[in-house]
Amino acid sequence: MTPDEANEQHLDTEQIAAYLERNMTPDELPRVEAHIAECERCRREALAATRILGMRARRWWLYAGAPLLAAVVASILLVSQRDTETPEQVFGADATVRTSADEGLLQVTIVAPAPGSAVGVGNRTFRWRSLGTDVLYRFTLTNQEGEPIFTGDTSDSALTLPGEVVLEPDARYFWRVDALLPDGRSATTRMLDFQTTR
Amino acid sequence: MRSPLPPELARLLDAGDSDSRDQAWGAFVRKHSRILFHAAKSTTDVYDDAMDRYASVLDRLRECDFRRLRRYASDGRTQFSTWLVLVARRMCIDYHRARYGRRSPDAGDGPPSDATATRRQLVDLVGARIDIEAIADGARPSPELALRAEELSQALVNALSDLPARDRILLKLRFEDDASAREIATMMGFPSPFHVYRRLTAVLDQLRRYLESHGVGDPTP
Repeated sequence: MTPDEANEQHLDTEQIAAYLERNMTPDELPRVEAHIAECERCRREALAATRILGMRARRWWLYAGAPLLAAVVASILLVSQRDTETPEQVFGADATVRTSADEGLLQVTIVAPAPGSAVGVGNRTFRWRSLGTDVLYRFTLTNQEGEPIFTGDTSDSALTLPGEVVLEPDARYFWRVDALLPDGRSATTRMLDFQTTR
Repeated sequence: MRSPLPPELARLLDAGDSDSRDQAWGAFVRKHSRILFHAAKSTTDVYDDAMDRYASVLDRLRECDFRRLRRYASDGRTQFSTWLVLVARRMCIDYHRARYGRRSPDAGDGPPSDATATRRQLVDLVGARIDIEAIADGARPSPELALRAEELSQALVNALSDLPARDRILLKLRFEDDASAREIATMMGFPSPFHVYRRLTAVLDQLRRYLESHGVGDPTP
């Protein structure tokens, strides 16, 4: 397959943009949806654009070294960017976690394990305060590198890791709970951490 | 129907002399540098690389008398910011390929998709339990287990292929691309993340019923 043939198989910029804005004719939409359903590249391109455009509402400060900017664009206004934050600084480590006022999210209050606590590998149950009835919670567990280990949905205010999820001793893990309320509002714990004992 | 041009773009493309063009370009960059940098950062984990890509995007947007921007002006039917983000990302991917070869950072924005992990999640969610690890890591399963795994896998493939494209997109965004419900809602036009979860639950129930109707239930021998 030549590069040209490969390119012909993918959606062009205008098609993806039209899909994202739901600005397609009745004839175009089924064809584009069928392609996105099967094409990882185009689907992920659309998802990436969705994420980037969603960031526009947040404050984001750009900083670049003076020599580079001087060489590239003399007329750009420069402001600082946070690019040296540790995961803790980015995600926060409070049990009652702060939620971003900018994002307007409610908070999920953690019961156990406490952030930063040391737990045995046999302690596999995570608990949080219920936000009421008909709430759906999504639990996410990642390793220290941020790679997802387990994701599960529950309507309870607790979750026990299934047997096939193995926690290594003397390792650090991150977890979070996202909640979806019946009225469509979201709540979150942001990222929390714990350390398994030897 | 063509979208109206944003004023900074219209001013740039209509600029006559070089001074006006430079001023208009400066205004254009000030307006859009943020999303252009986000687009560059989305294609690399390395900050310096992102800056290089961002600079490359600006160069390419400016070349040939803003040829790419004029293309939007001539037939853009979507919002300029949406179009610009997609164009900028593609430029960054071209930049990446020129430096590192054909493997694109956009074979996903993160690690490559894991078909085994995806299948495992779907299997778990539709109620079947089999020892995926025994298969995924190359261990030789028992003949019965291998047969059940193959049977379940094929049934899942058939069930998925029968779903409408929109539901397949939903499943893949959730389980292959690890998109949040909020992101899925935005991308696919659901009214809220709650609607995403509701549709997801309905699709998984549908898959479960399909598997049961085709004789794929509890795989325990």
